[in-house]
Amino acid sequence: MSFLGMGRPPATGYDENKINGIKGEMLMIQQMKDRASLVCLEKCIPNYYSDGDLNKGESNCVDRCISKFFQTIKVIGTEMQKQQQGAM
Amino acid sequence: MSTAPSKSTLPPRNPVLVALGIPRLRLPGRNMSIFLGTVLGISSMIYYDRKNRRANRQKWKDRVSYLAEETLQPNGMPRKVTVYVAPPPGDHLDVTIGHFTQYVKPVLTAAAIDWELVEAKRQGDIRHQVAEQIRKERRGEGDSRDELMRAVTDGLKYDTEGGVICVGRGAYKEYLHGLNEGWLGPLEMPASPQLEKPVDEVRGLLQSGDDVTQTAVEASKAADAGVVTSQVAEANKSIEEDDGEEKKDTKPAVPKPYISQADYGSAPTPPELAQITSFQPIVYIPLPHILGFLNTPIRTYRFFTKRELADRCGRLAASVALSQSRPFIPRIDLAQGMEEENEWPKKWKETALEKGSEWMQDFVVDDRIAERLRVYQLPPIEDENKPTGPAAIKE
Repeated sequence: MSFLGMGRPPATGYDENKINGIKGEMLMIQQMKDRASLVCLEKCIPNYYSDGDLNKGESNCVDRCISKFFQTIKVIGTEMQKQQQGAM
Repeated sequence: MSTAPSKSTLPPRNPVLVALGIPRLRLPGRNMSIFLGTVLGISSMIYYDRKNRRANRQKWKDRVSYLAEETLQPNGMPRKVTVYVAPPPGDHLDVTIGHFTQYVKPVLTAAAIDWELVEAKRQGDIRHQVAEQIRKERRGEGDSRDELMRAVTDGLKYDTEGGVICVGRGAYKEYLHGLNEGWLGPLEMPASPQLEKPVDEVRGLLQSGDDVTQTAVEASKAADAGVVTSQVAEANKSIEEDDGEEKKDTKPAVPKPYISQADYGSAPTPPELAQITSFQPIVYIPLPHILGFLNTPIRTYRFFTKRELADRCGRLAASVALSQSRPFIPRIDLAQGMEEENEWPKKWKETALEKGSEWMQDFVVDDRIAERLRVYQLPPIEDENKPTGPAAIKE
């Protein structure tokens, strides 16, 4: 669309749709990262900060939280795909 | 019809109660008393047991919780303990896993120790896996990471202490046998008439064994320390599902031991063994489990006294967390869990003896292995309820 009737050649042949797709993915990944950090911070790290370093319990908790988070996302993703395929 | 007595023979009532309309209070009769007595009696026994079980568990958790407050660098990995679980004879794996979750796991989480749960579905699973892991190390293939994993995990600082927990006598026996087999047995499967099977089946055997250990080794080295249940369980399940597709009877059997108990003494000491001064310490967690209708009184008693079990298992788990160990003494340690073995169903034991099953074979540990083994045990503590910290452990 960008090279129709504008008389301007495309710069290095980039495809706008692809760029948008990649932008969307980056946004999704960023959102996922933010979400995961927020959720696990809330669950695992208690409010009173006496020390700047994570201790072993908190570190384990964060590890497990992130692992569960991504497993959940994977499960939900597969379920949604199944439902979409079933609907189609 | 006839006039009732005008005055009742009962004592006069409090006018306040009369005004409020509250009926005359009575004590319950004989039947109601029996009913209430039984219900309240049983409930209070259960309540008392649960309360003390929680208190005992909390006592051991508090004893080790100072470990969770040590700092961990972002590239540091927590200590990882391997837990071997096998189903008790005649029952399912849930029993053992439930036992572990109730009594051992709380102490491990309180101490911020990560664990890898290795489940066994059949006799010999654990033994084979342990032996295969050792053989891989001996051959030098211990490091099975690919380039990406290597790049990711090389920067991480792993805790090298480790530790092994065997829940139940079956897992304990299998682990020790696997240890002996791995270090004293040959590196390749010996060709013997019992092991000669059609090629596909043999490949299936080795493949299933390898798959299981591959994922076990990867799981133990994975950066994903947060994964609680090991991927071995998934691999096991997937293998069994694949086989279930063909037929239930053609599940690949567990490979036989590469070396039998009788040959332990005559096996040469491999040079790799001579370099090792000690293995990971182990601990046996008792798993009291008794079946049978006539055993109902015993089972009832155990139902009401789980607090003792919580104390014992909590203490053993705390010894793992605090890394207090003593040398392995065959005379004492091979007999650990005899009371559990005596409770195994008699019929099961008889059939196992006839078939030569692994759990009923001689329980032998070679001297060369025994001198390198240690067993987790806490020294006697004066007052278990005293709050502790790192200093109090040096007793």
